[in-house]
Amino acid sequence: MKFLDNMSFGQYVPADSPIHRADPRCKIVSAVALITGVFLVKEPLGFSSWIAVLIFLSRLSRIGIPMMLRTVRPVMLLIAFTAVINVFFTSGTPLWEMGPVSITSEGIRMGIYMSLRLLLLVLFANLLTLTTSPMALADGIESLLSPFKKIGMPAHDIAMMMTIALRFIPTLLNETDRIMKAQLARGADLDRGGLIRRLKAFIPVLIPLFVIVFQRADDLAVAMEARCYRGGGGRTRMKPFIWSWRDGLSLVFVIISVVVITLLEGRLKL
Amino acid sequence: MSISIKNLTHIYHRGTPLEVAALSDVSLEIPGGSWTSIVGHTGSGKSTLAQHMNALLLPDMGEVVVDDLSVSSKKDLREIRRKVGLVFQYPEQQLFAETVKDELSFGPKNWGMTDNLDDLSEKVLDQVGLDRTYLDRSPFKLSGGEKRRVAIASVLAVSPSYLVLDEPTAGLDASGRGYLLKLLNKINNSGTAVVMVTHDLEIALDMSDRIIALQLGKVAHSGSPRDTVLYMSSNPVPGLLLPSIADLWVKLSKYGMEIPFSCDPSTMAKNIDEKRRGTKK
Amino acid sequence: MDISIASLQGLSYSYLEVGNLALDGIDLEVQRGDWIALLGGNGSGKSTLAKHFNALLTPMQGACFICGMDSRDDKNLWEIRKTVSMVFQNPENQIVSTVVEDDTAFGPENLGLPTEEIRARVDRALKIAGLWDKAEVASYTLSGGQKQRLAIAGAIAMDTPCIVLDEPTAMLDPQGRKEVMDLLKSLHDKGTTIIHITHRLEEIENATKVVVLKKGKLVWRGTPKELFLRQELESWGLELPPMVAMWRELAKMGTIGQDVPPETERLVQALCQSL
Repeated sequence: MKFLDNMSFGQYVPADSPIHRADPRCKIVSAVALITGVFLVKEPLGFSSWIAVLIFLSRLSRIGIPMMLRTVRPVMLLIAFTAVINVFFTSGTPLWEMGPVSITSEGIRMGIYMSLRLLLLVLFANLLTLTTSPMALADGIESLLSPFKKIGMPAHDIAMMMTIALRFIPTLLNETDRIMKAQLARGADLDRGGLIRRLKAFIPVLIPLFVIVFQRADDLAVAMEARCYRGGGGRTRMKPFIWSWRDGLSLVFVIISVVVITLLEGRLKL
Repeated sequence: MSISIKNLTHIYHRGTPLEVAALSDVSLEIPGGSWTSIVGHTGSGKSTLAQHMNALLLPDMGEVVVDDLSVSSKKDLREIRRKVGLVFQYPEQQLFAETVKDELSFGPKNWGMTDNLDDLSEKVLDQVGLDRTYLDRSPFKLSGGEKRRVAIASVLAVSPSYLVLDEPTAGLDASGRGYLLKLLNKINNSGTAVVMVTHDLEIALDMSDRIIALQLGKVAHSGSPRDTVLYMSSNPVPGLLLPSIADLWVKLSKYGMEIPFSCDPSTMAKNIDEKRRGTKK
Repeated sequence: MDISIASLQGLSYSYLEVGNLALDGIDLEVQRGDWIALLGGNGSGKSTLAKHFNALLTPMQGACFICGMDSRDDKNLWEIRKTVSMVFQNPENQIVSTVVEDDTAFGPENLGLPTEEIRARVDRALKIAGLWDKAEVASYTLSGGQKQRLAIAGAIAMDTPCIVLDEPTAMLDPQGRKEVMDLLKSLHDKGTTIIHITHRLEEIENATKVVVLKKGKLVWRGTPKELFLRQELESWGLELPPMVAMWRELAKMGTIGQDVPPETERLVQALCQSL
């Protein structure tokens, strides 16, 4: 159960694949490009191309489609919500009407597309976090942000915060699970009543969780200091980035596919 | 009156490649008023078993019956959770209220037991060795040991017939551990059954009427402390170390020295000394 | 080579400006190759003392010298932390990175070492800690004992002559406790100075010196054997290992001679002969 929870938040799954081995900067830029691509398409052809790309990449990463799909679970509600909103609130030719509520064919299309977009977005983003260790991810972001250091952006601190946040997700999920069960055992009712009542019922879970988080943060800060951490200055890396020709080539392919899929779709529509 | 578990199987990650049976075909009986210890290595399924006893987890197969209530009947779940108090590991981390009094009345309020809350709070505080001056204090400002006792009291507040504790002595120093065990013993003597889940065989042997040893989700052995020591001396259970005194007792008996079993150092010393006097006479 | 690792001279510390002293006039010498067992019950000040060894805390009164460096002098801070590394009670709260080897590399990376040097240190540390085969594994899949060994590997990779461990076994099961104690033994055999804070007397058999703290004061020092004969243990919040407790009672009653050590085999032998 615990392990599944970790995966469902797109936690890093160590494996040996071309995608795992790629330079994190290449992967971050690619993910951004792919997500942009997803937002540029508007037609079945475009969407199906991106689904094909996703399937190809997840095969290549050895993560596999079933495991990928599991990572969408936490945002499933949001996706469903998006679909419903679009179905009911897009104007056009009504297919079905009852009072002020109507369903239009445009609405159905919009609903399907918007939720597909969201789904693809989450999946491409998760493909990045599933195949990139948090440390590498953070270092990659730091490296990409380093040009902005000149204008005062704390690139290193942002990256370190991300690493730690990702590192503590599994721990905190376990804690939440344990505290929730402990309060259930004390008779707490966490899933009955309206929204306000439910929020109130979560106080006995949230307060202990805050206490634990602060305690952990405090401990971690001391432990990091004891290990000579003093911010980004003077730090070196065990795994320095080596931008290989493969990374360059992959990035070129990604960008070409974004351009081609977008253009092709536009052309066909014309 | 008992917690009766029949052929209980619990599977995590069902239907995925990670599918694993945390408990398989476990049957056991926890008599009311007894002190039973469930011992096992990390991953033996002992914490999963504890969560089944108060219906936080429900069986994939098999049945759990508490007194005359079965977990298969949905409407009985709440009453089962009241009857079987469950104290998690490091329970002090579940405290959340502004005062100890609020903390103690959380459970009773959830079960609609709103009469005489003050008397009740005082009574359970007394059971864990704290006096009424604690009622208005903030639980976050107590010492570690006191916090843990308040957390246990908050479970006792709904008068469970069974108190299940997961590693209740974890992280305590010698005096804290001794004191907590003494309190649990008192609670047990007043009629509440104690089920202690632990990897500390020494405490289990010293305190329990019966010991159930779990190994990879199955009951490896169940019996009195003495039987358990005899069993484990010939069938070691991975991750469970036979305490040194029990080991000595086994070795002495192999040399033909029959001494009444105890895991308490001074009782054992007395028993050995008596044996010596006996033989000398 | 200087033989003194740490020298505490009348060290006092308080968490509040006024109020109870958490540490009160501690004098202690730690020498290269020592294994110091620092004992005491909850609230004895032992964790506070531990944090003085690598200048996470600095004395309010008195002084703390680490390899001759005064810890109150800020410019010595990083040199001190390169001399003494620390391992804490909860392994979960000191692991920085999700991947085992990345976490071990965290300390050396902070020191600004060259890549090859970091790699070599990490490999060596993981081998000593018995985590070599887990180098690329996610840390959340490790057992409690393995997590604590990972934390120790992080300290080994700092390549410090001295490691301070603050109750490293307190949150572990018997298996994990054994793993950690075996690792400490092998580190000490390799020449690392160990300062081990604990309240479990089962874990002090390899200590060269034992120090007992009570309410911030250093109340006793000696060897493990001498400690087992003390009557004040209970008031110090300590408990004899059951075998030793029984052995002590038997010796008191005259059932066995004082010369028999508290070891199972020897006791069985002696008892079989005497009965």
